[in-house]
Amino acid sequence: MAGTLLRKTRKEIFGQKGKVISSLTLVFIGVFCFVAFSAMFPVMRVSLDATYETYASPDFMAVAYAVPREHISGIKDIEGVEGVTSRYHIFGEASFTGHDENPADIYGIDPNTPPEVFKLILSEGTYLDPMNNHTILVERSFASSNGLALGSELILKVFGSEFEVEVVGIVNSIEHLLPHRNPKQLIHAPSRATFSSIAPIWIDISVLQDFLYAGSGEKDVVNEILVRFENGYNQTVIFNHILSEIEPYPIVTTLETNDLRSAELQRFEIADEAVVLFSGLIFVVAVFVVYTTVSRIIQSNSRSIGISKSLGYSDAAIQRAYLLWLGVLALITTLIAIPLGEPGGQVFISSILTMYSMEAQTAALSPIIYIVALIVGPCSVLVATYFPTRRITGYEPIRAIRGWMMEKGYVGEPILEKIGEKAGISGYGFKYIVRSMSLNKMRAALLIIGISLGGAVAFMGTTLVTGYNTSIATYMYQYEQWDLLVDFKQPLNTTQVENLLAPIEGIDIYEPYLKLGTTAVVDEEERLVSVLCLNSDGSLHRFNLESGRTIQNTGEILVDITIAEMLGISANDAVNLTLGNSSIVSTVVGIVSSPLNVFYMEFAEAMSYLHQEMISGAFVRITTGSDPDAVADEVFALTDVENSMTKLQASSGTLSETQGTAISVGMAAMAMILLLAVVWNIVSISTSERTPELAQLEALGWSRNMLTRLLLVEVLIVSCFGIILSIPLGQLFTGFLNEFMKTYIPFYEPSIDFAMVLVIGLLTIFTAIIAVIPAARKLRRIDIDRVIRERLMS
Amino acid sequence: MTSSTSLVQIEDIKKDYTLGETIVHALRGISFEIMEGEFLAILGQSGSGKTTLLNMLSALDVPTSGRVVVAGTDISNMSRDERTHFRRTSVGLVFQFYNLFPTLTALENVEIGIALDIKDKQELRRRASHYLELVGILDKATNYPSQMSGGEQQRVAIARGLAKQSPILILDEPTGNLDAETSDAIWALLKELNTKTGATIIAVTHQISVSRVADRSIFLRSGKVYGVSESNEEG
Ligand SMILES: Nc1ncnc2c1ncn2[C@@H]1O[C@H](COP(=O)(O)OP(=O)(O)OP(=O)(O)O)[C@@H](O)[C@H]1O
Ligand SMILES: [Mg+2]
Repeated sequence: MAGTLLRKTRKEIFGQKGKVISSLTLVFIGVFCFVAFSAMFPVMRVSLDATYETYASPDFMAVAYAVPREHISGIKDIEGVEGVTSRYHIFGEASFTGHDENPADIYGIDPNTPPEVFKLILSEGTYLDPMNNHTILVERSFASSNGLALGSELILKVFGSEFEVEVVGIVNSIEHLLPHRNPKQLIHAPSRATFSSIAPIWIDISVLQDFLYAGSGEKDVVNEILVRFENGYNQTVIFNHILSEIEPYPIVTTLETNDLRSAELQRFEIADEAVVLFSGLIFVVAVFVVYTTVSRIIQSNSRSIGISKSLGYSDAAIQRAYLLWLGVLALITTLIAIPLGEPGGQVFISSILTMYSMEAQTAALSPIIYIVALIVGPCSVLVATYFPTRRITGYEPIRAIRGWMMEKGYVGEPILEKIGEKAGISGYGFKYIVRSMSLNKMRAALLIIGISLGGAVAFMGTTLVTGYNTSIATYMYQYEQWDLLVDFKQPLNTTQVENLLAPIEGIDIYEPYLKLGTTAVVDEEERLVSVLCLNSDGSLHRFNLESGRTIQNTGEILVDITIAEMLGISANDAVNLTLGNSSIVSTVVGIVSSPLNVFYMEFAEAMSYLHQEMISGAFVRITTGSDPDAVADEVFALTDVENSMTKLQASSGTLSETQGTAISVGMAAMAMILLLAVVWNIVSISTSERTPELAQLEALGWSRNMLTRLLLVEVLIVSCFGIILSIPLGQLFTGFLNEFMKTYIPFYEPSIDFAMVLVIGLLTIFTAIIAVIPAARKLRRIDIDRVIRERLMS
Repeated sequence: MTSSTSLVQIEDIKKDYTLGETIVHALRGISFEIMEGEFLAILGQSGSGKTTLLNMLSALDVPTSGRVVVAGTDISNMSRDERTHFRRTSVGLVFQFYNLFPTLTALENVEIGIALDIKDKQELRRRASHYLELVGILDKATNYPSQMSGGEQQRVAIARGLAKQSPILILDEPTGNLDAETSDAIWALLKELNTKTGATIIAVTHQISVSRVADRSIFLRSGKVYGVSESNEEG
């Protein structure tokens, strides 16, 4: 008995082979992606660790104004220090065949000894020639994508001076790929963001210093000190030793292991969650598709199920037979996907790593992943099978025997039809479509969900881009009122600054600032922090307060929210800061959202703690009518000035139009593929399910164009609902995205571009219509003769 | 009433179905004519090709060879859309299996068959109700197919075919599910329509008794005309 039932059920399931295979394929993709992604991350972590080892990445980095190399020679002898590299790092321009003034990251290094930290691994050619200081090294991937080879000649431009150099070595370096992309530099220095095509170039340090200190000043100075620690030493102790070695030379900012490495690891944690989410989404789609497929199987066999019941098979036995078969199929699918997923993920990740000049290591996959995959794969199918098979209870044997319809099959007059009638749409086509939609509410709901998901993801993508750009632009517009940001090569005093800037005609007013890297004791723990001292009640800045108030008295400071969260500081906390030789206790009176991860202190107060006046730069407002670019160039030409940026240049975190378009288009394309898959599948199933009815309409004289129009009407109706639903859904997604974006840009504000929303709405409808094409084509090929012979009643 | 004008010419039609490797010869060369206003009965054993022949006449399908000419037009050479148009304008159809729309009520099932040509809603409702009344199930007008017995559904299907008021009415075993009494009433109704409106009726049936109301009966066996019997008496 049971054997016969199983055989019959198997035939019923395989009668819909195409649909069963396509739904199991989705299950396969879900399991595969889950296992593959899960296999990727351990490999990524281990490989990254290995890469940090290979290239000896630093545990500490100090960005200073200028420190004589002699002065810090003691750092390498500090206990626990494994290696030290110091260098002079500036932003310049490189011109070469096909590229004019391409931005360049130029590192002045010792031509005699290769760096111990952030090692350069020669891929071709030789190291710098100490005898010829116009030789350079170029990073490999930049070289290959820009047609640079050994012997290529470039013209470098540094501080307005040009000179010719020759490539003698092509090196692998991880600096530009790994994120010591410094969040502290987000706005006030050109961002070395992933998208940029800044040329990484290494050159003899002496060349740079000749230009830097044309004629005057010390010649052997560095502005970046990179230190790598041995394992097991107390980091805080080493930090303090290093800082005291650098003293009394001021530091702009410091970075620790957290900034230098773990930022990426944190991003992996988020990526890990994203993987679960992504695989989860595929499973959700798979469950939908399995659901519709099983519904179809059950419905098309309702009569035979009714007859089986009349022969004495119980509902439970029939349901079990379905669950058993589909469960076994899902299990087989899972068992095939798991062993393919792991190598699949590893191949993928090693190709990515190779792209980034890293070598993939092996890492074991946690058995939990296998267990989860083994449970989730079959269970998702069982759940999706269980619900449609419950309908079996309603298939009365008596109806089957008498040849009556097996299902209720009617819905009365749905609201949509009444609305349509009021609006003057009352044709039988509309009536038929609306009723068949409300007859199969689940399917209509799935269509709507699919469309709204697609719309929402696309919506999220565009708010990301517009939000990203407008956040920075809006922030700069609302809170920063200067036109020009000037950095000096060395800290100056008030008189020097006045002498320097007063002769420039285009300058209206300026406010000095000082950026200092120092230590703070928070909760009895010593931390490396940066302090930006500026005129807090001047006319060139306002603060975007998250909580608390602005500075009113001495002894008060503000803290950027990112730093506050990292160090666990809240408003009214007391912080012990070191400034010069003074140790001061300050009260945090406000937390602000700002582009810099720093503490903000009143400029005048800071000066009172230092032995001498120290001004590291100035915010400048130009006179009305002057051209900011022209003034910037004039200021840049001054000897003491290292950098002079217009407000526009300073907002360098903004995505260019092409980058923005690429991201939007990419997200929209992904969303539309999802939408296409869902609509395609559901409309195909629903069309084949209604084949007898559609054939009959054709028999009654409805032309095939009219029938195609019916499908379009249906998809337009669900699209409208889908688009309406995609608005709150899109907002929800955008909400999640904002949380994520705020970790990068604390003042991130999503912004909605209505033209974009409109475009997405139209794109959604367009894609939905495209997805109907296969069903419409199938409709045109229906064999009416055959279909009419079969009964419609089942 | 049979006039002497020939309406349909069937010229040596053959129909083959391919079933995997084998070819089923459903019609093996059939020729005859149907007069305008004729009441023609087609009889034959199950599988003898009756439905196949009707599908050729109603342009639901095309013969493998041979021609079907209706009112001077060769419908066996028409494109699919032209055939659809032909059905819409010239034939009323009643299928062997009643083929009703489960989401529509009895009344709506009749209406949908004529809605393409009658735009006025009042008129639509009036005409549909009239034919439901003729077949004796006006009281079931608001029932859905799953709330009706097989015989009731069949009568809705007949009403839908009649409501079209087309010059040719094609029925495939319209009374297969009905008791003898209702069945006789339906045949009498068809005969009455035939006489009154002059519509040509082509009906497939298993019931030999129908040959009494038909002007002529054609017997099929294995896809061939096996015999023709003219009715002596008319009416
Ligand atoms: N699509 C098809 N494919 C293969 N064979 C078919 C197909 N349609 C019909 N046939 C065969 O053609 C023959 C004639 O079928 P048809 O439906 O015309 O018979 P019928 O006289 O109407 O029978 P019944 O009285 O049972 O309705 C039968 O043998 C049938 O099996
Ligand atoms: Mg038949």
